[in-house]
Amino acid sequence: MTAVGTSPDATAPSTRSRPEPPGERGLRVHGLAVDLAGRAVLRDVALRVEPGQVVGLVGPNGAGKTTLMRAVLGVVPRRSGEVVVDGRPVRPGRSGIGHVPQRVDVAWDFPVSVADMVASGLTGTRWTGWRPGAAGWRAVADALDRTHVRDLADRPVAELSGGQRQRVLLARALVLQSSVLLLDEPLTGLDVPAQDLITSLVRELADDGLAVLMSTHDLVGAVDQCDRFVLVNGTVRADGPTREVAADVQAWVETFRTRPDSALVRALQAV
Amino acid sequence: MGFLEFLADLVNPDLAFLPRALAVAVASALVCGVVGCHVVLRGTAFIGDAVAHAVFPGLAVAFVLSANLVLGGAVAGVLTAVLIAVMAQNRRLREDSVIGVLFVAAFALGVVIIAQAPGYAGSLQQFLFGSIAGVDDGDLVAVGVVTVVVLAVCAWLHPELVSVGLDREGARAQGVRVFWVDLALYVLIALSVVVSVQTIGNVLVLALLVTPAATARLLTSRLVVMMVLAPVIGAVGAFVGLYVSWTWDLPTGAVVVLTLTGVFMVTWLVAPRHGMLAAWTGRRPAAARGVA
Repeated sequence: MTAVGTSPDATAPSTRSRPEPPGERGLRVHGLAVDLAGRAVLRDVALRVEPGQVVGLVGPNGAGKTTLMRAVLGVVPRRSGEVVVDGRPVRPGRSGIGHVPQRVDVAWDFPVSVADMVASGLTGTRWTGWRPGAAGWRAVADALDRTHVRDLADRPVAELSGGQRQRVLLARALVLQSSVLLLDEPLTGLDVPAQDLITSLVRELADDGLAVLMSTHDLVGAVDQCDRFVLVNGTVRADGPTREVAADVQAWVETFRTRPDSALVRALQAV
Repeated sequence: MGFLEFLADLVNPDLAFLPRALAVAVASALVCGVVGCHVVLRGTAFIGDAVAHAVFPGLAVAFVLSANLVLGGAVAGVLTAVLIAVMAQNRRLREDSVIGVLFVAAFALGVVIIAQAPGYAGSLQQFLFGSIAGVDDGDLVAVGVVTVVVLAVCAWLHPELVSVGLDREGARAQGVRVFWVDLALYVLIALSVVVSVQTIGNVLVLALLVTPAATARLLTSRLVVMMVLAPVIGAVGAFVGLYVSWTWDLPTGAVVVLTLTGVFMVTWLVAPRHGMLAAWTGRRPAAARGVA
């Protein structure tokens, strides 16, 4: 199966044609297409993340997971399609969506404190030169509380461990008080205890009513960490409850262009 | 000549150019110190160098036309800043290639232009290495205005500059207009260079932009403290440099740069948390040792 130009029935995610209910909550992406440097990277992507859900965005390297997130945020132009948060279409570059980038994308040697970095999440939400007042700093303190790093507030970010950095980035995403959270490989490069901490934190946030879309390469771990899988490779290849999708050999073979008896597929069958 | 004689010369009405040069050198240290913090933290010293060189054709045109040098340099510097920012949008060209192409061309253009002026060799040297004799009252006013504007814009745009410096993509996703923030920073660099070029010189100004900020970074992990320390270090270096160059008849810009370099080297050795001695004696913070 090719990455692009797939007929819609080949993907058939269950949410594709769902009508928008009044008072819809969470994230809905519909008919999304993205070109990068003239190349079709994503075609006809549709997915839905409901409040309280952690959805695992899964696909091989170069499948367009990060591009999908960037398109949702409006950082890369969409060729077509719509992104809707809480029933309202998102304006490019003004998504207001909480986003945790890959940790390597952040300049950790910048001489700012944890609280300053979290507060920087509010920059750009108002006019140029705006800085948080009392309400803004309360939001910062709340975000630090929710990710259990309040005690690190005055610490320079350069001195944090990998797991602490990830929690600070989560706090920076939460300070926007969005109902949707995008996490780009939040577990990559963390040791197992730190991964467990982030995973349980993400679950806490979902239980608080956030809609979480999380890309990950730990596919076996993600079966338990997530409620649903969205398999992506150019377009959505499968979408459903994690255990159902994990058992769908054909979906993994198509998405990862692997053999039915590959180690990945066998590991997923064993979960 | 002792320090007291230098102070006496500073208030001697016959040597009015000396306090003017000191004022411009200190103003240069202030703006370069503050703007230099962003240059150092972003790792864009090359852009500082590029803009410094690109200011040259503007100075040359102003010199040939007998116009205000600060104004001429500012126009050329801002134009180059815009060009770099616009051309760097093309993803096939890396920013450093764009800069490499543009700044050497701009410098060459400056040399061609200034060669049109009679007796240009002397003026060329003055532009490249700085001079304390050339500052007149008009320059003083222009430098004062530019200094206030640069510091005010730095303070105003501080949240955006920090947010983009920390995480460009993240800032873009939040709605920060990254292109305009970059452009503003390049223009601020250009204006800082223009202010400094007369006393410090075109070739040496990069040191004023980078060295005090790099020294301050070794001393603190707080951005605001860094942005206070860097201009103070720069201003002290400018004062000491001017004193030494006046007393022993040495080129001012070069002495200021060497003074600042000396301060940097000492700080690099003995800085309480980030210095080499602290590392050797094991008092360095965990993150700096790479175990965090």
